[in-house]
Amino acid sequence: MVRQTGLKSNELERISPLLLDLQTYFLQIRALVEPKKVEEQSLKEIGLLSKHALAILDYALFAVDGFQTELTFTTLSAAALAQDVAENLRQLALVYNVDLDLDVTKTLEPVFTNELAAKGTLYGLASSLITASQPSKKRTHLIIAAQETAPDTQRLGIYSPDLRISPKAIRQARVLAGQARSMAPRELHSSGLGLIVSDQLAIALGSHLKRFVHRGQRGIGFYVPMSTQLSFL
Amino acid sequence: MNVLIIEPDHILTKVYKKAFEQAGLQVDCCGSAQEAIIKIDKNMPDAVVLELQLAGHSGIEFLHEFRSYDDWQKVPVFIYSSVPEYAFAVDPKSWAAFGVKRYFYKPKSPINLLIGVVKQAISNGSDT
Repeated sequence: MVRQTGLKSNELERISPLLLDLQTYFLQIRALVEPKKVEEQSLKEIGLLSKHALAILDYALFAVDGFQTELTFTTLSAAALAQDVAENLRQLALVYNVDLDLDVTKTLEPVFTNELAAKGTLYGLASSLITASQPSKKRTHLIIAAQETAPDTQRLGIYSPDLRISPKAIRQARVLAGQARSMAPRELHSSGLGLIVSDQLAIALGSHLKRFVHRGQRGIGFYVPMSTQLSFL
Repeated sequence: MNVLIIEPDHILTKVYKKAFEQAGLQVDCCGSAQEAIIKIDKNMPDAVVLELQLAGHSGIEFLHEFRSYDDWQKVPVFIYSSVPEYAFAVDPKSWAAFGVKRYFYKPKSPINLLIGVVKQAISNGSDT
């Protein structure tokens, strides 16, 4: 007779980054409401953290689905996509003492990709870097970028003079996902869920995260093909 | 009463700093083990509050380094971590050997509990 134990341990391990990330958000929210008189600023931060937690969980769940179903690709603007992600993260960046900027090549042709997966890749990467910033250090500077890098290719990514994430860290995160409390312990104090979501979504898009140098600063991003449909028009 | 908080998260650092200051304690904060060693070298605190999960060198590495200097042996350390104690397969006496006065698991320990214990330990000359 075999004893029923419910979920197998390896199944639980796979969702551990999600659980650890959730734990962090709940700890932050509890800490913000712990004082007897909760300040208005704390309430704003709770709203912001909840919004960010829901966004990253949504992208994480989409990353799981992305490997089970075929992604639908459409023609869209990489510049608008980068701008959306930058806008969604601007308030979070302020709280974490990060200057978030946008650098988009003018007159970019449309790209052919899956909007949610491309946004999730950029969002996961940028949010990991924002929340990894050290509390006592000077302001860090992070730039979300969409650039044409070859005649038929555009690159979406992040670059910064303070960039701490390398492709090596992402490879390590892939190996340690579900095995360690922090998947990139040299660079991140958190579980690194955003990083692994970004990595998985880039793979689902048929790309992968790559290192680049732009304006003398280190960056990391992924490449998307241009849409032949609208180029023809 | 000067307390050094080693906490890597921005939001938690801000909240803890404010709570300790409201309780009448002077607080210095840092987010990494290396930064903590530099700060302690400049201004020795009366107590250290330590998160074990740090980027770069971990809290455990910090403890090894911190306790390797003679003049820092008596500074009490309070672990306030999101890593539960059972994650370390160590005898509780091992924490005591590192001068860890008490291990607080963040999800089960409100900040005011930690502040009360730290204040009492400093007042009693770290004999708690």
